[in-house]
This record gives sequence, structure tokens and C-alpha cells, in this order.
Amino acid sequence: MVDSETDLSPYLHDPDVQLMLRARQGDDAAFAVLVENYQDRLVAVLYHIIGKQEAAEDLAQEVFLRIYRHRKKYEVKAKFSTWLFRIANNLASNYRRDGARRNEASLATNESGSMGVRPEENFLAEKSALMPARVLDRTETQTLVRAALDSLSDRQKMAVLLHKFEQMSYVDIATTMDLTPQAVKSLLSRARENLRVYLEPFL
Amino acid sequence: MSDELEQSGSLTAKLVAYLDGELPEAAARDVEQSLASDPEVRAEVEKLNRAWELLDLLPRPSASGEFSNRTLATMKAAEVSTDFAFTDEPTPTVVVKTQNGKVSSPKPLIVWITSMLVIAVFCFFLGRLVRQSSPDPLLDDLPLIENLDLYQEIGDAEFLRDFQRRGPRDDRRQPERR
Repeated sequence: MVDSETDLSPYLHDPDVQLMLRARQGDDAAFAVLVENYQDRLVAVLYHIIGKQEAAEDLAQEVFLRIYRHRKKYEVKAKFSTWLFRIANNLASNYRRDGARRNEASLATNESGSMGVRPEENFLAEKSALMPARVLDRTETQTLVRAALDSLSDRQKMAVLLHKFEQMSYVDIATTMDLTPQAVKSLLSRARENLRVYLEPFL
Repeated sequence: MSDELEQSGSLTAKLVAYLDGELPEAAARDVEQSLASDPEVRAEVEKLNRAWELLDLLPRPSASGEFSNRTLATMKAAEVSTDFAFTDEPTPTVVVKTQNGKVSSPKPLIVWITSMLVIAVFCFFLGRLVRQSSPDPLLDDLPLIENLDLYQEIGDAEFLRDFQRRGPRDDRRQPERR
């Protein structure tokens, strides 16, 4: 199953890498297991990047499709999850860039998604900021936290989601986002500082 | 806040890295000492931590029920179309069996014949073009050249006029009667 080229890879103990190696050999059932294992995790991250469930699923599908197309050229160079989210990050960046172009063409849009804070969230944040002592219910807090996340830059948001949802280390985030671990440390520091400032009235 | 921490880089970055368990052991000890001695650092860490914990409230939507089947079906369809697109012979080809039974395609033969025809037609028109554009004076004077010896023997035009007036001379003399 594993050829001599990859024998020395430190990532061979990763069970998902093993599944991917089986998929490389033509085992479609192994690839189906990978889809099952990662579909929810991928959609959850992409949903917060893009802001729409349907678009997040389309993008997640595209991620799996790309991996499947290139499965015969797969080389073990990283954890499978790092590789998968790296592809997802690149596709999400392209999606946001195209979305920004669309936005330039038509300035009016009702859904903010990754393009900015949703108006109702902004309103809630402003309203609640005037009443810091007010106790928010769970839904309101959830909306507020989403607004706080949306206030971050795209890169900060991705780093936060990978760290929070995927429990990725700084090194893995760096691999996923094509950054240095030092840059990730700085990115996450600024992101958490921004979150603290945004949410401070409710802490 | 401790001066040592301020000097050694961004305080927030260090605190965040400490909360994330990403600080080296020595730096982590520094932060712990600051936490023990500095209420402001403690408050800062507490706020950073609580803001981070609030992110647990974010919804984590799952993929829809059909996602897996739809994705796998799309992958299969994409693979079929890719195989078709990258097949060695995308269009049906005529196969010819040679005398020794080997299978060959007539394509090279057709290309060869077509090439020969094109070259022949090209040469024909090129020849015509050359003849029209640069006439050979030797060809024009060919009748003169062919009869040059005869013309030199005749000498001049006066002889020809005299010859025409008198007619051909009869060299055969009548035998004299005795």
C-alpha cells in the first residue's frame, strides 16, 4: 500500500493519510470514508467564511472533487487534514475574491456573509453596547459572536476557525495558510485582541 | 505589567500563545510569574479567554443529508468525463489490415498522398509562372537556329530574289544530237 517514496514520511501514522493512500491505489470506498469523516468539519468552517450554507456545501464538494481528481498524484507531505484545509482555504480565497468583484459590480447586497457584518448583527451589537448590563439570551449572544467573528479580516477569521474548530496547532495553521508559525502567532494574537475588544461589553 | 514581558515582544501575542499552549517552557514560566504578580495581566488573560470561549456558541452546521452521495456521484461523473476527454483516440478511426496481418491506420498513407498531390500542383503552377515571366530568347529563335547552315549558304537576299524570278536552274543538259 505504501511505496518506498513515502516510507520516511512522518505523517504515515495519520489514519486519514492511510485512507488517502488507499484511494490513490483506486480504493473508492476509502475515499468515501474520508468524505464522511470531513464533510461536516469542512462545511462548518466554510460556512463561517462564506456565510451561506449552500455555497459552503458547493465549495466543500469542490474540495473533495479536486482531491479525488488528483488522488493518483498524491504524495504524503502533510497531515491529511492540513492538506484538505489548505485546498479549502485556497478555494475560499478565490470565492471571496470573485465575490468582491461581484460586489463591486452590484453594490447592493442584503446578505453580508464574509463580505461584512450582517446589518441586523451590527444593529444588535450597537444596541447592546448601549446597555452593557443587559442580559442577552443565547440567540442574541450567538448573533453577537457571529458579528464579532465577521468583524475580523478573512485571514484572521480562517486562522481562528482552524484553531477553534479544528484545534490546529500554529504549525499546522501555518502549513494550511502558507504562512510562517510566527505570522500565525501574530495573526491569532490580533484576532483575539479584536474579539476581546468587540465582545468586551458582554464579558 | 512586567517590564520583562513588555521588552520581550508583544504582550498580547505572548498571552495568547500562552493560552494556546504554544509558548516555550521558559516563556510560559515568565507569563505565569506575571499572572501571579500583576492583576492587570490576569484581567487581560481572563478577558481574552472569555472572548475565546464565546466562540463555542458559534453554530457548526453539518453537511446536508445528501451531501455525501451527491459528492461521490459528482466525482464519478467527473472521472468518466475526464477519461473520455483524455482518451488516446478521441474519435473513431478506420483500421486497415496489412498483408502480413498487422493492424495499421490509413492516416499516414492519406497524408502522404495528399502531400505529393499538393507538391505536384505547386510545381506545375510554379513552372508556368516561370515560363510566363521570363521568356527564353533561344526558344524564340529556334526556327532560325535550326536553318542557320542553309541561310549562310544562300548568302544574301538578292540571290533569293533572282532565284524566285528565274526559277530553279535545270542542270540536266539535253544530249546533243549528232
